[in-house]
Amino acid sequence: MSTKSASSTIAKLTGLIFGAAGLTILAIIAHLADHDDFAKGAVIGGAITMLAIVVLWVRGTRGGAAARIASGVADERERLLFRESSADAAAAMFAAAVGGAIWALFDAPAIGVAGIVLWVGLITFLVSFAVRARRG
Amino acid sequence: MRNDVRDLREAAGLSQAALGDALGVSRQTVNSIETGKYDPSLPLAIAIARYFATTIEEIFHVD
Repeated sequence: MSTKSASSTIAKLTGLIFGAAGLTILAIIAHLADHDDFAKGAVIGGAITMLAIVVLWVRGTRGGAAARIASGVADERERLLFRESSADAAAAMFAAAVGGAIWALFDAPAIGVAGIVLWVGLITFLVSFAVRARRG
Repeated sequence: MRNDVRDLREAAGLSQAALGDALGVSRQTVNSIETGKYDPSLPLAIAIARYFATTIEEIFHVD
């Protein structure tokens, strides 16, 4: 194993460990705040996300744009795709936050508003990335 | 932007993947450049021109 691939593996394992630690802390906080459903959702969603990242790592450099981005070997076009999709997600989340703020005026639950903002961002990112990748 | 990357690559007997490996980009990126869907950065355009021992102006054409 080369030094480069060893350091890459260490970086990936470190990312997974910190991701799992962050997820655990979030679940503990949610549990202590009597939001067990939120804790379950965070654990399930986080676990699925981490599994998806591992799958992309396994697919490696020949696995398409998403796999190369996840593996840290994306080229300039793929980095541009990622940046533009992230910008789309940020814009959509901003709009969702404005909508959520208006909804909050009618006593909407904070956790519901936050959840919608997060889901809007995630879905927008995935759709935007898929569409932009297909367009070239 | 129109370009002659596909013609140059095929004349050199290279696949998109082989050219991508030589340039340090993915096969999909080479395909996007050839079809005009993606305009490469200046460093990548220079790398393409150097690889085919020509100039940027000979490869890329502003329509």
